[in-house]
Order: sequence, then C-alpha cells, then structure tokens
Amino acid sequence: MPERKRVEITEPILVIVEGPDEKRFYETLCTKHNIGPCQFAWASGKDDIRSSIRAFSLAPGWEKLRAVGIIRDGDDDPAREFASAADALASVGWPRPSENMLVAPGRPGTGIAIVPGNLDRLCVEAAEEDCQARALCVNSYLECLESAFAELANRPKSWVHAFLAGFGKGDVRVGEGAQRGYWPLDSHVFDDIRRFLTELTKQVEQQVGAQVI
Amino acid sequence: MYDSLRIENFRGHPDLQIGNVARVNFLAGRNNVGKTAILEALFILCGRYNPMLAITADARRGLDRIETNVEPRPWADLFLKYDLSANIRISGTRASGGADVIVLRDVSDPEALSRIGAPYTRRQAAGINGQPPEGPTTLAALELVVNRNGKDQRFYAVLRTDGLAPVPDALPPPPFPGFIIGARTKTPLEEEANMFTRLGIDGRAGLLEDALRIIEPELEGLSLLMVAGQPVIHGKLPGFRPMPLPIMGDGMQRLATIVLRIANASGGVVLVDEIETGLHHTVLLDAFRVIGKAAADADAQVFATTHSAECIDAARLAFEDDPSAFRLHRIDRVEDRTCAVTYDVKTLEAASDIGLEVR
Repeated sequence: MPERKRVEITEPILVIVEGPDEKRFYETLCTKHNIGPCQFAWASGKDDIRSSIRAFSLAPGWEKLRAVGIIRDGDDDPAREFASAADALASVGWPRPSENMLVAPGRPGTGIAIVPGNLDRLCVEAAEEDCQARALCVNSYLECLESAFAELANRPKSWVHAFLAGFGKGDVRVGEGAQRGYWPLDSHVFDDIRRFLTELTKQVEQQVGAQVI
Repeated sequence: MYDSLRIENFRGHPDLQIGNVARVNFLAGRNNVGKTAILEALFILCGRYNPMLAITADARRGLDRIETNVEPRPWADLFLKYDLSANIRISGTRASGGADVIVLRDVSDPEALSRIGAPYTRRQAAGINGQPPEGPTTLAALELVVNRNGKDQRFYAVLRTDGLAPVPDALPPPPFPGFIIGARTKTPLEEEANMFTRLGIDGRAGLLEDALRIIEPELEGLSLLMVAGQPVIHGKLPGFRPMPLPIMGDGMQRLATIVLRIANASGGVVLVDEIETGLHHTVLLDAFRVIGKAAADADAQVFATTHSAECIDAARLAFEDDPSAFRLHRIDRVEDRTCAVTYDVKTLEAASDIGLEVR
C-alpha cells in the first residue's frame, strides 16, 4: 500500500478540525462561500490537542502561517473544550483567544470555534429548516424506531445517517454529504462558522496590508 | 555532552542556533539547507586545536582541491558567502556547565602572517605539484582561536607556496574523541580493526556482534584476519568461511562503522552523514536501539543527518522508553537565514498520528 502523503503547511490560513470527515465538510463550506484559501487539517483525538498543535507549529512551512483556527465540537462541556484548545495555542507561544469565535490578533492570529453540541447537530438543525420534506421523513422514521424499541443513544448521529442514506448512495458520511451537496450549506445555522472563517482570512489581509505600509 | 549549539558565518549558516540537544540527534531538512555543514562545524569544534580539520571538510565531500592556483585560500568556502572578513564562530554549551568556543579567522595581512613565524620543516614540504620548494613564501593562514585553560590560544593552518601545514607543528590532542562518518567516504578498515581490538581488550566485542546480528541473525562471530597485509574484521556465517564485513554487505559495514565509533568515543561526539545509507528499513528500529544504548554506555553524543521518514519513525519508536535521549532538529531556511525546529519524541508521535510532515 502506498504511504499516505504527509501534510505540510501550504497556505497562510490553517484550520484544524477533529477528523478527516470534518475536514471535508468545512473545506466544502469554505469553497461554497469563497472563503480562503484555507488549509484544513485534522488533529488526533481530543486527549492530546497540545501535542498536535505543537506538531503543527513546527511543520514544514510554519513560517507561512498568518492565521490558525481550531474548530471543535463542544459536546457536553464547551467551556472545557475551549480552554483546552486555548491552552494548546498558548503552549506554543501563539496568541490565546479570549472568547469563542473571536480571533486574537498576532502572527499567526488565532481563533477557536466551539460548535454547540457537535457538527451532526448543526447539520440536523440546518436540514430540518431547509430540507423540510426529507427531514419530516427522517423524523418519522426515527420516532417510529424509538416508539417501537428504545430511545436512540445518539439521536443526531442516527438522524444524519438516516438523512444521508435517503439519497441512495450507500454509506455517505457528513463531510462527503457536504461535497455531494446534500446539506444546505447556505443555512443560517452555519453563519457563525462562516463568520469565524472569514475573520481568519481578514487576519491575513490585515497582515499583508501592514507589510505594504 | 552538548545541550545547545551555535554556528555563525559558517558555510550557509549566518547564525544557526540549535537548542534542546539530546544524546542522539537527527538533523533533517531540504537539500542544500546545510545539514552536512552542521556536522562539519561540530567536527571542527570537537577537534578543537586543529585548524587542518576545517580544510579537510571539502575532501570529505569528495571535493579534493588544495591548489593555490584555483582557490587562493582552500578554506574560503567555509566562510558565509565567501566573505573572509566575517569570522566563523562555533560554540557548544555543555550540559554539565560551561561552553566550548572556537573562532576561525582568515589571515592575509603580510605583517600578521610574518608574526605567525612558521618554522619551515622539510617534512611539511608536501609540495603543490610535486616540485621541490624553493624558498617557500607564506600566502595566507587560517587562524583558529580557542580558549584553553582560561586564555586564548591560536593555532594556524598555513598556506605556503610549498603546501599547507599546521602551526605549531605539534598540535595538542583534542579534549575528547570526535568522529565523522561521511555518506560516501571509503571505510578505513585498519582504523576499524584497531577499534575492534580495543573493544576486545575491554571485553566489549559482543556489542558489535549483537549489533550486526540485527542485520544477519545467523552471524556466529567476528574475528580479525589479514587481507592484503592489513587487518580486516571478518564475520562468520554457518557453512561459510569468514568473510570481510564489506563483502558481507554495505549494511553490515555501515552499522559496524557507526557502532565501533560510538563505542570508542567515550565522552565524545560521533557525526554521521545520511545515517540510513545501506540500512534496510526493517532493521532501522533495532539499529537505533543499539545506537542509543551504545551512546549511553560510552557517554557519547550522536548527530546524524537523514532524509528518510522511515528513519525518523524508527528512531521515535526506538527511543519511546527513553524519550529525553532523542531529538529531531529540522533545519529550515527562512528568507536569508537558517533556523532549527526541534521535535521531541511526543511531538513526533503526534505528527505521525496526524500524518504531518516533519522532514
């Protein structure tokens, strides 16, 4: 099996997400809204984000970086997720953002976006508003299951799988669903994330402007 | 053992600082970024009182030219951008405290040259074109300044019309052993035979046998036998007569070269260019374990260049039980300067998990 090509820093904006499927999702969101160019990469599990951020800070091409964003699921404790990401950024000498979704200036500028709950939940919310016909079908299906059997342990995950299965293309994951245009990426549900990514790009524009002056 | 290094105005390095140096250090980075130059700088620093080492650096790279009519000063390419007015400074901070510093300076002023006062001896008259000297003239000198016993001492490589010679004639021995192993240089078999003999005398010959069994598990033993009038290390395999190591394979010879020097570098430094040369990826993990253990036992420090991701991965795994003993330093060129980016074992592991490049 050929060795996976190793990632280097190629763009001035680096956005670190939780996994390869999230990478596909947010990349597609940026492309659709002409945000960037951003380089997306994923970090290993939640437990050791500090080592991952350190590895990114040292990766070949580190000198190109002007902005670094971290997008993570808030899950049950968004404050803890924010604090661990902020600690990781500070541990390599990068600016420590003071608030969720705000970009701290510097070189690189840094920002953290903690998604309420998780990406699955955002997608459910967006689809329930903007893909109502399909959403009704999925809701009926899940309610039927829950009434006949038991409450679903992870309803958003079951919801997105059922929703994506409805397109008839087999086992499609959330990020692949975005690439195939199944999710309504124009939904206002993704506004905060879009604004966050746009703010990161402004860091680059400001720094380039400052150099010109 | 050094815990940080600084190299100024040497080859392509305006001011390179490498911190967090460990017992075993790999140097990575793109072509022409100056990895081999770091080994050369360290070799000169370890040689301490011998400016002739600086001049042999080019020969080790396969560039054999000590010709006054081609390059007026054979040491010119050691200086950043060939600027002989900017002195070279190489320093290492010792983990035990204190620092070793040497300065290399080009001397061309006639008055200064006359003060060097090199006693001319017939032995030094190697001659440039095989012609006997006729009243040799001093052309230039490379001055090495080193602080020794609290005061600056000066040593010279003097270039005269009849050749190149050290001044004074008898240089003090270096303070600790330093070895450099090139990527392409020929193996000095007699030197290795001597080192093997010393291991045998110390009762440590098993170290080399165990190391070579990583590559050749069937190896029955090693012995010194004469080949063309010189002693050569031979390996014995079942059913075969003893064979010289270079005949057994490049990997056997390469690993023997590295392990022998580490074992004979008590308190010193071993420098290896392109450490992966000759070694199959399946033996790298065990080879680095042996190298790490040999270095710890001899209290030696190892610096090795590499381009190989497999090599870095193997080293990370080899040192996971003793992570403080290994660092990867990648040398980057940023605009007109070079800098070192240092990875510890934990960060290398994270980079590997994520699929991030580290070279």
